[in-house]
Amino acid sequence: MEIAKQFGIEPILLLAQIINFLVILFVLKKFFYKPLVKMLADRKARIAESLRNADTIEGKLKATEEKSALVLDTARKNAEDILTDAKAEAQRIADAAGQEAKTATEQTLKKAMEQIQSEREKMQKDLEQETLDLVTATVKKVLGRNLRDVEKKSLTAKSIADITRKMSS
Amino acid sequence: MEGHITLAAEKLFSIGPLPITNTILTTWLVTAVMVSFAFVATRKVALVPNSIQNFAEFAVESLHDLVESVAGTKTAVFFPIIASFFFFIIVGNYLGLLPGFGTIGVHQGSKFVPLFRSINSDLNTTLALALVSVIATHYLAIKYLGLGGYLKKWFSLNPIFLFVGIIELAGEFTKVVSLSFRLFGNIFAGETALTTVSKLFAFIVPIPFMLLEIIVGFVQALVFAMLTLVFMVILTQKHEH
Repeated sequence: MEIAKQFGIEPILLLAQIINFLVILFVLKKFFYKPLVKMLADRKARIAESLRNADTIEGKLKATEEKSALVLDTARKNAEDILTDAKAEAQRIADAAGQEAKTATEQTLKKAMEQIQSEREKMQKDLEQETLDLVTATVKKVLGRNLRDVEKKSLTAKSIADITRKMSS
Repeated sequence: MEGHITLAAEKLFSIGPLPITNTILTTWLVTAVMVSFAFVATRKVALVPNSIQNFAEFAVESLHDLVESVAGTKTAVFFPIIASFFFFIIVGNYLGLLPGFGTIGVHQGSKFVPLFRSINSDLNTTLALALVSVIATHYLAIKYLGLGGYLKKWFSLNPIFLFVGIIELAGEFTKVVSLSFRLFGNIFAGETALTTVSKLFAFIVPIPFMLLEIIVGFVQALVFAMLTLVFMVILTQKHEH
């Protein structure tokens, strides 16, 4: 105990120092370490979250880019398809219209020809009749008698042949 | 001025049964400084720290990482104790280097008594710290291992292990002595060296010693804290044979 005395060890001083240190420990633990460690942990969590978010955003951006590229691609393909379809349709319509026009023209032409033909026939018939009447009247005047049916026919045929020849020449 | 530095802290006055030595007074000063700093630094804890909070965070985070690298999952329990040892010792050591320590004092009769004395140059302080360290270590060992597991660390039916265990138990008392005398010895020696050198020539010459004391003050605080940490980690681990 001589040593203790030499170093100035006194139980009450020892106790005072122990209590003092425990007070420091308590105060620092409660008001210093706790808020700071919590803050550091919070900040770390916050940073981790930010980084995670950044990754997510980047991923989303990439996905969006891919998606938009895909959409653009699809749109382009669709547009091409539509264009091709439209071209084909237009061609088809044009063809159909051409065909129709051709048909209509042919029909009109045919009708016109038929009409011409029928008119010609009618004219011929009229001509026949007129010629026959004329011949009959002439003969009546010249011969003083009516022609017989056989004569009528041969005369008429002859006259028509002449007329037709003259007309066609 | 003979005996400017005495081994024992000098008594200034008494409050009731408590004798107030100059180290007790300095301890209160250190406590006041630390508590004030703690309050100022954490008054408004913000995600974006101001400069004081930044410094406090730097100190706490560095030490916290160090403790975590050794203690792992027990960090939350060990850290406040380790950090308090470190901060208390380093603030005490550095405060003791300030001018006025050991030089401002009163005359008691023919004896000069300094008003302030570096806290760790009094064995009462370092012994108190060592006792707290060792008792806390054993308390935590019982907490983590249970009383049975704790006792199994020291006592065994195997005579060899029983012998080893009893030697280790004796080693626990040695811890108190080594922790307290290492810190006391270093700081007291530093004080003595500074005083002696200052007596020889008070200007310029003490500066290298001052720088040395700054390093010693940091190293001793770290050594005390780290030893306590290692003792805690070892003692709270399950004993395996």
